[in-house]
Amino acid sequence: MSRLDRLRAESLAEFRSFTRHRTALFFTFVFPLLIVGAYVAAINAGDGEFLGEAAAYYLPGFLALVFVFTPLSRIDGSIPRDLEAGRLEKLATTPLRPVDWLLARTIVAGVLASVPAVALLLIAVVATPVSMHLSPWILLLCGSLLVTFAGVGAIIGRLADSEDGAIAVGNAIGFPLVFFSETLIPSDVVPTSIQPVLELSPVTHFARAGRTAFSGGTPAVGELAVVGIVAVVAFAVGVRLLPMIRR
Amino acid sequence: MATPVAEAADVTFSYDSEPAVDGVSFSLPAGTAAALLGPNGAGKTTFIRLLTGILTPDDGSVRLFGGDLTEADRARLGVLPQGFTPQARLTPRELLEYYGGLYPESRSVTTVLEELGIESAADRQYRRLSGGQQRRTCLGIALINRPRFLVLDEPTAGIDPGGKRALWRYLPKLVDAGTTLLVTTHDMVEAERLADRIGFFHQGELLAFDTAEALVEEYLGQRHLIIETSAPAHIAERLEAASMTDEAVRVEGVTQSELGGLVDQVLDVGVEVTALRWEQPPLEELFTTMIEGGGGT
Repeated sequence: MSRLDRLRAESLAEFRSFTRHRTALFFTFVFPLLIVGAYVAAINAGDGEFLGEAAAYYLPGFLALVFVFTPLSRIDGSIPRDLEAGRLEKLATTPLRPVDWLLARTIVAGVLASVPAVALLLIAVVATPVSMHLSPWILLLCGSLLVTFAGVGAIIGRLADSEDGAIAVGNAIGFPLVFFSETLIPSDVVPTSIQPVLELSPVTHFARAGRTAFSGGTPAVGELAVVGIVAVVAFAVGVRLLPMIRR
Repeated sequence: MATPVAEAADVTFSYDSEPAVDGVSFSLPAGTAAALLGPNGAGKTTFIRLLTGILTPDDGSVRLFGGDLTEADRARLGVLPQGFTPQARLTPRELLEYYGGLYPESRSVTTVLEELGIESAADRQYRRLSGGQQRRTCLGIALINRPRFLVLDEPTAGIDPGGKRALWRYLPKLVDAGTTLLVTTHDMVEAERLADRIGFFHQGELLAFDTAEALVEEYLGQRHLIIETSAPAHIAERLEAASMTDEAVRVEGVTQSELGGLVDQVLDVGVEVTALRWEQPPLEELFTTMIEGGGGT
């Protein structure tokens, strides 16, 4: 069996396990639809604008909702849970490497996030006066965000002392990033004292690059570099911290 | 002597400066079975984690399959960690397929399900299985890669006597087929049933590691022969190292090879013998004797 087979086995087990968990399914698929539904209603009530921005402004935010929360919520709590159940200890005695484990979880999160992501974009197109240009940049940016928050999820899962703690920390980090990073709350509305902090958010750079891509342009190299570098670093640190001691 | 599958040399490990394993040396020849006994917190599980590479020793060295632990082929290792619970929403069949998929080669899932007697529950989610079926599924997961070295940390914890006995019948077959087995347990009877050699852990130290018979002999004294008779004096005066009670004679230090000759001697006396019992001191007393410092007799 090759490494690809190991990834397949790990991904399939995670996918099967997840899709039989109704609460997790609800959170992954229905929660973003509810948020986007509320935005669509607000945009339509505001003659195609909400908080002074056109519908297109919010498209990267809609994607951030699923590509931040899906990997984060799938991975942060699962590490303390798998530790408690002895599953990571068991895996540490198999040929599966920590990088394979996180990669498999990232792949599953990516598949799961893609379904609501497509649905959200379709809703936006159908229900709001938005026009969008789909380009490979969008895929690249979504992939980077997915990898970033898979890594962040692994870091949180390792540092938190319980599943509940990990989920709480994940939400405490994820919600402000998703809403305030020039995504679902326009930067004009955010207090000026907080704005410099948002420059540090990878989601801010994702949103800027995403808006450019959705309008048919090529994202700035600087934005792409930040998004890409943060993804690589977060993933590498996540792998390094995974509590499968043997490497 | 067969090549050791697992070896530890003066291994030490601490959790936050609290010693958990303290200078343990150990060698397990291929194709043998060993059991590690000791109370909770004695260091058994930590030692197993060191031996299987889950933890790295602070000091000392561990070798697996004759080589350095970091280079060891994990595909030949089967481990059932203490308290291991697989994904609750997968079925035994899916779990065996999953774990089998992590190894370069694995056994047929159907064969493992049949061997462990869980084929009827193969497509039921793990969380809906009985405790015994769950434990057998976990054992199947540890066996799916046809391991050369199988390490089971308290494999019968929480399962009923019937399930225990089934496992006791199954594991020796694996050893007979060449698998090297290491189990931890609190159950002295289980240790003696499953293992050629037994190790006792206490406060991070391996107090002893030998065959059950040798340990009993060293720490509790040798086996003795009890002869129940209506005329104990007639027999006692003919035998060495014999003591007498009202209706029995006790002969200390009787080995297996001496037993036949001794019985012949007893029968030659020509008095009625109602029972003969060749007994060893109860194994259950062994650990207590060891930690209380009751040395060999």
